[in-house]
Amino acid sequence: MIFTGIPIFLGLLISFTNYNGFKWKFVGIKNYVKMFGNSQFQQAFINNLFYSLTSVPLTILLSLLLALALNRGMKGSSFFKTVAFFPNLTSMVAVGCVALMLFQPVNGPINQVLRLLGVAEDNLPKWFMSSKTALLTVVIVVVWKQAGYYMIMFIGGLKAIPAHLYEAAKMDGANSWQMFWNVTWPMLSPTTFMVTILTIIASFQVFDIINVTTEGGPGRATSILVFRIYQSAFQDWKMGYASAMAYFLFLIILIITLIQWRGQKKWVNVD
Amino acid sequence: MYKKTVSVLMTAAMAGTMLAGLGTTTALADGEKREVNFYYSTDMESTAGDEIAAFNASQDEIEVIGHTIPESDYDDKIKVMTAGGSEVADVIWTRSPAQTNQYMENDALVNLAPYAEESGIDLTQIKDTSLKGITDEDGGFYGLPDKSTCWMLFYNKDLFDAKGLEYPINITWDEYMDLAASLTSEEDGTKMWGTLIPNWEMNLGAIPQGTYLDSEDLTYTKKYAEILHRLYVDDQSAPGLGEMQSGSFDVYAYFETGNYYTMINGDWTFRLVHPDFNFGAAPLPIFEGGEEGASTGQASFLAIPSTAANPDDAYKFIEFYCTSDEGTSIIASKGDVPAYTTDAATKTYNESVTADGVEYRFSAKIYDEEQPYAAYGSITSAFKEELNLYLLDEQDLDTTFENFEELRAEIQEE
Repeated sequence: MIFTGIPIFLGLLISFTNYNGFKWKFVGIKNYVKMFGNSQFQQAFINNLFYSLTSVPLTILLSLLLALALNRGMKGSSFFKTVAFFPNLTSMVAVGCVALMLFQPVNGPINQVLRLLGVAEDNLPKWFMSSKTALLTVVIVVVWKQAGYYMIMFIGGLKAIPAHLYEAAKMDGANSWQMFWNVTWPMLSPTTFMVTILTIIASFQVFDIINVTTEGGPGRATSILVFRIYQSAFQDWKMGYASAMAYFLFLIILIITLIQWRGQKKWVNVD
Repeated sequence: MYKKTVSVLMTAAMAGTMLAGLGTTTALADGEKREVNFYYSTDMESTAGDEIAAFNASQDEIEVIGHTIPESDYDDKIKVMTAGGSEVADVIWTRSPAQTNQYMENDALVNLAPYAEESGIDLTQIKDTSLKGITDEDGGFYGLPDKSTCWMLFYNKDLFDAKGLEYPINITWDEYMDLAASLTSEEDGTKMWGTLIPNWEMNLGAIPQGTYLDSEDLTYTKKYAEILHRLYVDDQSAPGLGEMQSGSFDVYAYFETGNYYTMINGDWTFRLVHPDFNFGAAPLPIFEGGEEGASTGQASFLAIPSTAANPDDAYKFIEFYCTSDEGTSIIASKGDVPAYTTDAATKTYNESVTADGVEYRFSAKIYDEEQPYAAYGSITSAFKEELNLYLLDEQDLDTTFENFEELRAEIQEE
């Protein structure tokens, strides 16, 4: 109550003021009205939606593929599980610093490899240094980092699937794909549901990788909601306005989560 | 009930220990001396450490205790500390007039004018320069400047001598661009760059013309944007944004590689470039018809938070640091230029900085880098967002300035 309830309530109060860290005055819903008419906020919201729509499916796909591959009990699978999980142990700040060097468009190793593979200089991607590719580059880095964590969840889900279902499917002549689609995927639905909720929430909380690599740029190409909140609160000193944006973000996440919870009755198999 | 009480107490204890450490303490007061707690950024450690030691050695009743905060976190932590009404700091360092004004506008700093009047210090030499931006309409001022900066043109003497070229002293921006383009080449697989110009100050060339980002007429800002575009993109005579933003681009280390004929940077270059590196300094290039020797820079300040427990002693330390012969000499000995010039400091500076052209630093007419009000920072951020797209060749100049002026109007409406 003390460390969550009171700050949440105070944050809501602050969102109706022009609090700048020192003084405050009640301004009603002015911050919320300003927010929806502000081009920087609009851009941050659109960017965040794009980021969520790309990073969530990619994370689920990669972590599921890793889990399926490493759940076969083959030799060395424990080692590879550890390797896949390692990025998750690293600080995102450290990952961001390394990513800046790897994806450096002129001399970075990735573009040097692409040059060796015959990609023309004009066609080399500019990664963080282009408004067209910067957000996708952030997605690549984040998906790589967090896939290992969700892989562990999927492995747990896979191990919970009763073996007799696969045996029965085999006896019915099902091939690998049919077994996956008719047994694995439905039985994994509770895990998939949980991973989806967690990755969506995480996608609206992304900040550190943006702050380290692009600082919202080039232009406003990677400006996302939490970064915009940070800029308003700690660079512009508009804490009332930043609180309003934070509450909007909270509502977005809440609505998405509620939709998912209601939807789980339809598509989550709890048998 | 017992378990719940224990868990609440443990949580409170954890929170208490988390909040306790805001910086690192270098010493604890002992005996009966009155303490003055001075918070500063880690990049000032050398200067501040010597200042504290010198001041403490001269005092029987006051002891200054230094607290460092990592440079990357400094601004945010000091803001949170002062906004939260913390009483731990008696003296803080503020980075610029704009930042100091943010605190002033919120009554977070002590007016030092009465203290200065009582001590009798003559601040005439800085009244219309570094003190101007933090002086209110009643003549109150809310900090004393410790050092000031100045942007200059630096050149690699060995490279110029090898080519038999004259050093680039008192040149225009057009001459500078042409020179950089003519010197850029590739030799045995190594690129030789005409210049190195960081993108930290994106209105650098326009400010000495009196054009700020909130000016109605942005002609010189546009001209300077075109200069950067020509250097980064058209002629590629300077490393572009892509190269500079790899996270490991140390401009001084790159200049010292000997592959750059010139570099535009601040006078802190005298301190940061290796003393054995053979380089010289010249005035910042100007626009045709501009004021010779005009440049831009800013002062930083020592200030007293309004919640300080010991403002009287805090002022004594600030005055020692920023205006005394000993205090200003310590600043100068580190290769920085004290904002308040004393003969002792000038002598020390000239002894510690022996590069050619250091005299241009003192003859420069310096215009403040920023306008001294809080919203100017937001305007600067908005400009940087749009200008970066132009310098990455993703949009043209007119679109850049149209978008910027729209954003600026939004910010100014608030």
